[in-house]
Amino acid sequence: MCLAGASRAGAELLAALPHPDLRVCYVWVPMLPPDGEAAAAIVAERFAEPRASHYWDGDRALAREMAEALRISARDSIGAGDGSGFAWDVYMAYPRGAIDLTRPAFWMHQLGVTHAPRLDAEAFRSGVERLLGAARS
Amino acid sequence: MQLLQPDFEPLLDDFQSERASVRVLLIVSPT
Repeated sequence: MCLAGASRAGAELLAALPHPDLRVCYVWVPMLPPDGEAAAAIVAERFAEPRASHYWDGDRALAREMAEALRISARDSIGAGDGSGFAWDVYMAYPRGAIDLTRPAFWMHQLGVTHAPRLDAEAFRSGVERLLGAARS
Repeated sequence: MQLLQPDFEPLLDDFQSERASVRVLLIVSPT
């Protein structure tokens, strides 16, 4: 599920949109038992592309911070617990000039969240295309 | 692949270095 989302919102997006001003940042985070830096290195190689960069969030710090920013609860992200959870299986897009990670132009997910849309690869690509169009004007 | 430490610096540097770019940020598990 997770790799499929990374492929649809990342690798396939880059393939569909050859625009030189588009960049994809993959942040790999350990959320499932087999996850680890070695597994992340393998998929980083698989999704290698000149416009892509890869990061390892081994202590889930960004996943926690973005969960708070996007109001993703523990229940909606890991299925149990109270309070803030983890932003994972989360796909965000930013306009040119954006430097605040916590304020994407739009975002989608594959969690239990109901206040943002679930990942729809076509809708995600259309949103990114709009941002690229705005970037050209 | 870079470590996201300290304080997400590599990623923040990435965002700040090419501000003409539209960016997609994915937080995903590798399996």
